[in-house]
Amino acid sequence: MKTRILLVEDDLTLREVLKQSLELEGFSVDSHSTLAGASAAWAHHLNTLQSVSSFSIVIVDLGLPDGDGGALIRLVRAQSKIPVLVISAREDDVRKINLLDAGADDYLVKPFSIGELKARIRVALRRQMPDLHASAEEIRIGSLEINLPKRIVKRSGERIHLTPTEFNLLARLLSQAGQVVTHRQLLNDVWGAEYVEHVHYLRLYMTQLCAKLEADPAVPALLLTETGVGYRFCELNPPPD
Amino acid sequence: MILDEAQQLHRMTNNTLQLARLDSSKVDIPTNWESMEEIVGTAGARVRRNHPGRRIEIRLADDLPLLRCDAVLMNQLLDNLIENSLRHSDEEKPIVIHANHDSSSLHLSVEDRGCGISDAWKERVFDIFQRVEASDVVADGQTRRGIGIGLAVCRAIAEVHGGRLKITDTPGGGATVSLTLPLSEQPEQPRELTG
Repeated sequence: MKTRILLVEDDLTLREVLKQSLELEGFSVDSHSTLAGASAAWAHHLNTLQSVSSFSIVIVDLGLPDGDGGALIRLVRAQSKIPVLVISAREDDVRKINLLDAGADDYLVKPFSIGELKARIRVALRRQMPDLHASAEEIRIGSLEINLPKRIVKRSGERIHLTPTEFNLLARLLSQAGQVVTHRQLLNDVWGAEYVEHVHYLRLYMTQLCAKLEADPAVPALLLTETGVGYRFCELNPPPD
Repeated sequence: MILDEAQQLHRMTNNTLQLARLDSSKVDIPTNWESMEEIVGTAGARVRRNHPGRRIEIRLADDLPLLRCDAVLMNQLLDNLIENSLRHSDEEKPIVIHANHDSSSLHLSVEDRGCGISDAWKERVFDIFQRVEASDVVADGQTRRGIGIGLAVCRAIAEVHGGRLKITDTPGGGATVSLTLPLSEQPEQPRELTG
């Protein structure tokens, strides 16, 4: 059965390009230009769960002619755990962060390449597979080995000492490897709700983590910064394009 | 190629919009504590992705303090400086980014080994729509793409952060654009969690 995508984008040209490109990749795409059309398609999806017409992922543009794409995201998230990718313009930063905090899984800033979109879809869908990361006791990335249950990190067999906070931060990022985690989500989950505005904690600890984990901290390959939004641990074992 | 053009167009549009915004008398920018390592690292990664044939060297001093700034603007400034350096130097020549600090300021520079810039243009290039004429290009005089807005935006971004930009000659040929930004008192350090 083909993976079915609900695509909501009001720009006709972009919508058609995305639809055709994703269909060429083997996806089935139900595209809409309005919030009303997408909401109706989503309602139909809820009535036909487990059938061929149910969706596996939602891709939504924030600015729609008849309303905010955020309304659809909140609707989807209230009723389902399927991945939601946000497409946005760069100036939508604040809205984008709010939607990620509210449950959207990832975002892409226009202009983006089809390859980038496919990679984000792949990561989001893989996270839907049950217990993929929870069952991965040991993660290997190049010469780096991370044993989550034992809280041990090694490079080329040599143990790297991480403080409890550094390890918690790393584990939180790894729990969504390949996807962006907002500053607020990280601060809430690692330090607690009263620290969600303390972004400088993240700056200091991420610098320390980079210094310990990256082969060249000036050229980060594992711990990636999403400017103004949060951080992303690189995708684990990405399949070749 | 299409994505390259789209990104170039996007950069120009973004620069134009940003300049209009920053030129307004009471611009209020959202600042946060940011790490120069992250800002430079992100910019470096973008260059490697978009220009895989080009060489970029990043030389950061240890223990750089946090900077109070708008990271999106700071990224735009650095992107513009790097794109400018790439445009005005040959493929095989490296671009070098340095960052260090003293007690009151953070210093960031983007150094190229390109055609350089004559003294007459070292200030004028920061004015909007000013592009160096071929006769003023020191070395190769090639036509380079751009509309003369990138450096004007860079200066506006520097100024809105209380900083300043200047161009000097790179020893041995080329241009170095240096940004100096004031440092704020550093925030309290987090306590390490136990257990």
